[in-house]
Amino acid sequence: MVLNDLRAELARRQLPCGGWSALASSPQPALEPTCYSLLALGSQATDVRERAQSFLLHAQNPNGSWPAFAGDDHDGCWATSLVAIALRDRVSAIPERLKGLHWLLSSAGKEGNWFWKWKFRTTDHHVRFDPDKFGWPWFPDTISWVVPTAFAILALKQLPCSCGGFELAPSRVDRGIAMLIDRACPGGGWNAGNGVVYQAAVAPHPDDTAIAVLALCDRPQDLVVKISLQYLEHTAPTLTAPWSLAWSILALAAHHRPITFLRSALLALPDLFYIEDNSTLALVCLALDHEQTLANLAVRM
Amino acid sequence: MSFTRWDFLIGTSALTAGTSVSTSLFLPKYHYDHRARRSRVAVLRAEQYCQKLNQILREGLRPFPIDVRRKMVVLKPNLVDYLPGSAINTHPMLGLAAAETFRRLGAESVVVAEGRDINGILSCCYARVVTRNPWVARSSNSSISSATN
Repeated sequence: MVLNDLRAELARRQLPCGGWSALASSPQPALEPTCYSLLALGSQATDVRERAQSFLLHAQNPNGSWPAFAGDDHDGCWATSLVAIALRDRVSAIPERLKGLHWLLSSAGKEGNWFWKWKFRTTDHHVRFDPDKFGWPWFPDTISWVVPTAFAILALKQLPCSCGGFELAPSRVDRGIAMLIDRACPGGGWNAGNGVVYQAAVAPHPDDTAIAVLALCDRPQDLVVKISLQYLEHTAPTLTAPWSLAWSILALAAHHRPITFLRSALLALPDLFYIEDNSTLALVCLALDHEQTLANLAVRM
Repeated sequence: MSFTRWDFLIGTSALTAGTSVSTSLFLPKYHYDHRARRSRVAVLRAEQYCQKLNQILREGLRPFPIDVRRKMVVLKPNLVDYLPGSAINTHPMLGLAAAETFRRLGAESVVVAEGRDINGILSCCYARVVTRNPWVARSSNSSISSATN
């Protein structure tokens, strides 16, 4: 019942152009909340979904990528992964989706470049990581970060095969997974980028950790994944932010951990309907319908 | 053995080049300090989050040649999860103090930029104290841990 009402609220917030804004009070459509909202609406609200899909298709850059905001970032950005996931069930959008995934394969963290590898190996030791293990950046020509790498892995894993120009996809996914494992915090979990900076271990963030373990759902035996799940199981009951709590539910459910208490905690948060951040509202819906969400993310259950 | 002016010129050039290259090898090895003459970072001490922050920030900004007149200033606080025992979120009082300080310095507008309103702090506190827009703060969570970052 609550889920249906939250979905109705989310649908009500759709902008006339078909997209959703980052904050309910803003008129500017953004790609990230649009993707989460499209996924969150499930199979309901056909008209709303149609308009959202059209908005996403019109926002695609000529090079196949997607910007963070319609008309911005002509070189593309991390949102390409999210759009590829969100358009998963639209048959007519297969060419656009494949074009986006091709762009994703060509995108890589700057540390993958030989010059930057040399820099990080010889002179720049402020952060501790192996530059051979690179993933995806938020924006082109920048370093790999945890969240865009995790989303790119999730998007590329949805490819049915590594044919038709996607021969590199498995190796890029493997390298991205190696990058995530390399950048984990020493005690488990993930911060936004690196686990050690200026020789100090940084603290993990619950949302970054949850998104990373979702991308690593087929690596449950890996030690880094195990201790990160322990961190998440320990931290999630203390969370009061719906965004992080929702991601934690999805991540723990994907790894077959108990989520009943967390789900109740999410539902017990006051004023869920008044969450200003549209991505967060959509995420709450996705967490409350976790089985369908994990199926949409092609995460093994 | 004849010694032409050409030989002299070549010999002198070789000696000069050799000296300039080898001198650095015989000089003491210093640890070069690559820091800029003038730091672009100020670390300011504040005992508590109060009205005094305005004064502290104003004085802290004075040594910097910052001209924000008729410009937009973007503040990037750190707003992440509230985790008990950790101080990782920027206190809204600091945001307010920074906004007022830059306005006094002539900034046309002050904008708070953050990737996500993860805890409702942005819409609940920053929207009210920094931008003073009529944004209705109905977000559920007002848990704030303090940090001077």
